[in-house]
Amino acid sequence: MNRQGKRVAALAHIYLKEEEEAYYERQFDAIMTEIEKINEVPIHLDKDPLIVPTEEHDRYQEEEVHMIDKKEMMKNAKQKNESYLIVPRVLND
Amino acid sequence: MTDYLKLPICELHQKIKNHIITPSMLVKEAFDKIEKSNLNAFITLNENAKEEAKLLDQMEPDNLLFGIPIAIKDNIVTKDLKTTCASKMLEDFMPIYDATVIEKLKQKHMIIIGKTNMDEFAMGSTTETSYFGACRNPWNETKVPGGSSGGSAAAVSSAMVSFALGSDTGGSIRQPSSFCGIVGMKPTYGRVSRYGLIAFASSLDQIGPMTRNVYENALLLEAISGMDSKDLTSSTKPVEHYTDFLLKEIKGFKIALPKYYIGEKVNPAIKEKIKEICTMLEANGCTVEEIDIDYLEYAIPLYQIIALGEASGNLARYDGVRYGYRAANCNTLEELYCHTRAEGFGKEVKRRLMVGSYVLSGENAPLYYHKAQMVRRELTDAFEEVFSKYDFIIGPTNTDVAYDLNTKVDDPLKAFYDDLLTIPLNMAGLPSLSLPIGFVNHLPVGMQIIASHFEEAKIYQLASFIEKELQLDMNPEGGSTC
Repeated sequence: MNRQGKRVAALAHIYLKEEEEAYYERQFDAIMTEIEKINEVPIHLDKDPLIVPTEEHDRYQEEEVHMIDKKEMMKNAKQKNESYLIVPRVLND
Repeated sequence: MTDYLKLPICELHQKIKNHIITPSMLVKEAFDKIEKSNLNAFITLNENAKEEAKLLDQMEPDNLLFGIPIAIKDNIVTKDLKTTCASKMLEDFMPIYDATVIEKLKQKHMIIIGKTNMDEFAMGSTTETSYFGACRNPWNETKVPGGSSGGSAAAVSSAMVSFALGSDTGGSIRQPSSFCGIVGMKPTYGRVSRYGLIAFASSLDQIGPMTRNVYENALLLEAISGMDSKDLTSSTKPVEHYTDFLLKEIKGFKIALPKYYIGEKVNPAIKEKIKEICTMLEANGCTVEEIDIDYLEYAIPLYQIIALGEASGNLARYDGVRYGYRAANCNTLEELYCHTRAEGFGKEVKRRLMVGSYVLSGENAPLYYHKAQMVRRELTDAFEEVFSKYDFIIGPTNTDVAYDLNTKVDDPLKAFYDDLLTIPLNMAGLPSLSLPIGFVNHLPVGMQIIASHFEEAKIYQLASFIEKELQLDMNPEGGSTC
């Protein structure tokens, strides 16, 4: 995959100014050089990957509905009206 | 100014019980100290603390933690008290609920003094990435306090409070505890509920206590531990009375010292301190053996893949829509997302999210993330093998003592290498405590005591013994005893 700064930033939904691209590319490359060391690690293919370090997983419980006041829920939103969060138009006219 | 907050908890509790001092007096003392301090340990102070204390003044204390002020790392949500994660992204965020650990503290009638400074979104090892400015080390204000729970460590170390909560994803409780000369515990994964902890890496994060001594650490861990139906990774295992295990016999313990932990990357003076501890333990009936543990040397790339990959998913929610910073003048939704995140996040967070998104994307996922999960299994099995033969693993918490502020701020690997010795335990979900064991160049040095899953009680047993033997004066104002 192309590692150009702007493309990688787009994966993370981060806008990069032109003057920032070289900086973040260098930083990214330095970290990836370290990460590449994982390729030299020998592993046993018959073992399961470890996703969460606990033996207590796949626990289930009954769904409980807890109502939260809509006003309370929206109080931290920067743009809203009485009922909705406001965002830029998604569909064109 | 009074200095009651330096008293041990049992003495403080007696004075409260006998009405010699009140919770209001303790809150006033905490606020006075914070006001006078240059450390920048706090982001937000709880303006309601005085009122809460006044109510407690009228009540009879019902537990040791009654009326005691506590500081909370600013990535743990507190209802109606700003929680910022030290980020512009959440500068004005007001949670509508309390984290489970906060509910538990309130049940004990502890008083939340304020929210402590930290690295932005817990990403860092110095507290320098905070949007609200760096925190300073109480032992030397030109040095870093460590991170990401640097504010909590500084607050406890300088006796602004005697208790604090931090969080640890790769060392963020233990490393600043070591740099500031306090006791910090990263519990077993699942011991403490993560409900209300603003997520960084969900398979690594744990909340833990940061205190001046082992007894108080054990007391606080007991208060915050336990199964929580709101966090299904929290363990159903019963919580022990950790304080019951302090100062029990340690004779016969078998202790492993990984060669990696006393290798070339560690300051020789710190290695010397560890060797002194080993000699002391052997003199008291323990066996200490140097061993090899496979896969330790891959801990950093492992962490970079898993932690950053999980972070890219967890921080995807910060898009300017439901809460948090929102960029202005955006014409499309995509622009809103991208500009909000560009302007709301700091450099360290942005570079980590870029790496995290990359290692999870397309054909990279099997190459990096799935491979990392396999290596994580190997490392965890290696630890399990060690604990089949030994009671503990010990070693230094850090490779060096606290360093100067503004050193290598733009070094993308520095933060990871600061956590070289702490990261492996998060990978395996193991409990690990950092205990102060002395000084090098007038700066505190910490050691790690690591045990098998859910053996926090055993860790406190050994830690309390070492603490009693060393009898260190861990008061920054008193100076080091080196």
